[in-house]
Amino acid sequence: MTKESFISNVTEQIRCVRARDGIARELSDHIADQAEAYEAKGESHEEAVKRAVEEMGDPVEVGVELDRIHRPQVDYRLIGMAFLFHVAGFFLVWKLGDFSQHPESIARQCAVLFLSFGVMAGMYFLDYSFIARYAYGIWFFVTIAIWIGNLFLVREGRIPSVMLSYLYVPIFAGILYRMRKGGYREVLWAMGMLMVNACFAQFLSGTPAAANIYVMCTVLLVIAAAKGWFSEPRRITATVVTGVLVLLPAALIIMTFVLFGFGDGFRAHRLLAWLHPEQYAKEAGFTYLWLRQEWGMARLIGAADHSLLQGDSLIGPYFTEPFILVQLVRSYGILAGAALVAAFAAVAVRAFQIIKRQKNQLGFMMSVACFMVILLNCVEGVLINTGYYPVSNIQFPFVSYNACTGITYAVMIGLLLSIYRHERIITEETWKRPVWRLTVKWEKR
Amino acid sequence: MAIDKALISGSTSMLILRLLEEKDMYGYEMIETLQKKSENVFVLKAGTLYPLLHSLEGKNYLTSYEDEVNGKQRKYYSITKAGRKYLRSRMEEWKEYQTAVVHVLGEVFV
Repeated sequence: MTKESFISNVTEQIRCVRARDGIARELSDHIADQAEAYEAKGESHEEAVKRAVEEMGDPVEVGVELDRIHRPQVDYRLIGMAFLFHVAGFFLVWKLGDFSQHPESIARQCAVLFLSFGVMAGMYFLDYSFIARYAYGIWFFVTIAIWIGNLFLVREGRIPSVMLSYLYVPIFAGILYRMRKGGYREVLWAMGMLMVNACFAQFLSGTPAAANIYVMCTVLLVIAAAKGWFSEPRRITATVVTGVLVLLPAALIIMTFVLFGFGDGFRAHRLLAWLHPEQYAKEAGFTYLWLRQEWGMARLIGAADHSLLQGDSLIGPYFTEPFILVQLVRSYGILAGAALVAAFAAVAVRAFQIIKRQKNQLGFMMSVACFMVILLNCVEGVLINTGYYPVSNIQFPFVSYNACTGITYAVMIGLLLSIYRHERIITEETWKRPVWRLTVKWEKR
Repeated sequence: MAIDKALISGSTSMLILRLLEEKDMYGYEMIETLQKKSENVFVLKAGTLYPLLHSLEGKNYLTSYEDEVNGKQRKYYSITKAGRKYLRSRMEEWKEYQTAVVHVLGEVFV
């Protein structure tokens, strides 16, 4: 048997195309080393190669064994959770949103549910390393798509999506991966891309989303520096990055507060209303007072008893997505709210477990990105619903009738599934090569 | 001396991890070193070694990286913290097994 036929016999047994190249190279190198050793002992080249191939063992057995190891894995736990929580969320939104009065909303909600499942399945089957391979192209496409989408939404008289900009976070992980082994120039470029992300997010989805994206991308960049992705000393790079991206802006913000106070802008007003809701009861403080009232009246199980209310009754916002938790508590009790928070926590914990399993640097960084998007939004959402955080248009996963929110979370969960699936397949060496390949055989007649 | 295959197969991962505890190696180097250290007792086939290495890597006991040495691109394997921990536990197990075997066969050997 020749060296080539041995290797092709081995790789033919491996169903996962992406794993084949690395294995073929490793086996070929081994045969070459062994043959070289035989040649040094005086055997002819042909004889040495032949013997080296024979020493390798049965190619089919080796191939079958390697196929078993390099098989894609299915994370049934996360798939189960995603399916269950999406379906449960669908009924929850249906019930709380009082869709019986608006039959058209049911069709819309169904479309969002299937769109989410479709996007998730698409991301799951697509190999996630394409985000690193085509990071800039995807970044450009996503930016244009959100921009055009926003123009359309605004024309329809609706609010632009706050969630889609979070797609920048996993894309940024991909961009960082491309810059590995680079020096300070790459660090600077990464910081520049981070700023660009935050600015575009501000333009496309508003300040709260932009601030979150800035924080998440900063965490990714600091992790990359601390893990030694750049060729410069990791401690110095991590310190410089933290200094420039965290301490400098923090110092600027504190200085602005010290010199100019809260100012009298729209955001300052919102912030003051959060800190002193009573003073702004008739304006932005109203929501915080309403939240207090709702939690004060909430029962452990069952709908809140509004007859217990003393004085003026504050009627909260009608069904709005950012307040879905408090509305769930109001209608079904604190335990129902706790169940919803537990569902978010379960997904976040699973995402964290996926991060911990990652040996592949890209898989690690990408799963950290998805984990942060899910976790930060859920934590912020719970804090907003309990009045501990300034109100913003936060969107929870699974319980949204907003298509853009559905798509964004579906991308995050689909990516986590894809990372898990390809855990033993994508390596530091193979990520650059596309999975698909076209072979044209030309036969002379 | 050739040793029964079944006797070695269970402990191959332990032997490989022990080798890698000393230094990072590529596949061929491992077979060579193992053969030399065991005075030709352990002659590991490449067809056994690579699936084992890939499986240990999958379990996070090993990591791999590519490095160029003497103009040749090599895939080196390196033991991880989890790999060291696993090795310690396997060695303990082995010691216990060995003591038990010696206890039973002791009289024959003495």
